[in-house]
Amino acid sequence: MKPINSKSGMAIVLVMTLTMGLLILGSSYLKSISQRSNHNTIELGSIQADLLAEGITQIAMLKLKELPGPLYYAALCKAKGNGNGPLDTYSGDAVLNGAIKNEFSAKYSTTFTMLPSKLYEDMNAKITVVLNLSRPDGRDYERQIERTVSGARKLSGK
Amino acid sequence: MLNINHSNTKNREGITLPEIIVATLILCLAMIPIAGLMGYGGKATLKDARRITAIQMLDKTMRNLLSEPFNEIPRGNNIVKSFNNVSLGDIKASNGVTYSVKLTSQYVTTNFDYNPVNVHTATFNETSPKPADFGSVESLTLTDSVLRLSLTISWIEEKSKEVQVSALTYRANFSRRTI
Repeated sequence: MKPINSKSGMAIVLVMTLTMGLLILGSSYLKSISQRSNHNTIELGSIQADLLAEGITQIAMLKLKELPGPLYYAALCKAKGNGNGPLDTYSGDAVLNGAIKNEFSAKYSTTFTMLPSKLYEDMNAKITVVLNLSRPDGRDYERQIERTVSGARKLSGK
Repeated sequence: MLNINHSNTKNREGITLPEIIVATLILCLAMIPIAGLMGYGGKATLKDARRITAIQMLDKTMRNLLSEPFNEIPRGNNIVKSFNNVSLGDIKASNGVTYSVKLTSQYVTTNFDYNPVNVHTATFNETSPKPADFGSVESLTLTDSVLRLSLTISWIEEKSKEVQVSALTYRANFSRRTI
């Protein structure tokens, strides 16, 4: 009967183990590459959200510059507990509260508030823009921009 | 007395050679996809670098656009002519890649809704206006005070495949004379 050597076939076992180790290293390397690619998409989505939110804020500031009086009285009406209607109308423009479908999709909303400085003698308005952007890869980004505009109320002719 | 089992020694020597040949073959076969993976990693890194350069260019150009005077921003589709601090058209970056930067700039009609206040009634209290002091909803329409700015940066990947990144923003005309 042929004697059995306990060490026969050890080289194959060793090489198979080594090969398995290399394959594990290779797969983890591939995983790190795919994660790095996603990170780039994160940067783009973040920049797109920043720029769009800044643009909406510019439109809101233009409205405040063009129509400061209606905001002042609408905010005062709400602050005194007389009703929210005029302020809701002022904040509810379609151009300031809408959605965009581009390379990405985004929804945004804008609110105007008055800060109670010197019992509303000064006109300090705060514009808040909240934007939610979704990238095609399923990643979501939220941006909130707050901008305060200070002004002095002055009746014409005085 | 020394007792050597000759047949057993012969068997061990005979098995080792085919073992080494088979093991080397397996190792070589395993190295082929791993070597390919290394090459793929290098290509992916370069591709990422090109994309990052494009994104940085997109951000910088948009920031420059937002800081330009409103009236100096050109209007039109796919504008490639540079102006002031804004570089448009074909731009060769430091990584040797040529990026095509195009701007689309269009007026957006904006309707601003508000309730006008009638301050000339006898019942009007300036410190506590009532809903009755407000008129029905009116709208201020501006046709040339807001620009929609869309910037697209494209470049060529893998010799023929065009890739692009884009961003969108708005620019308001604050120097407009208020009514």
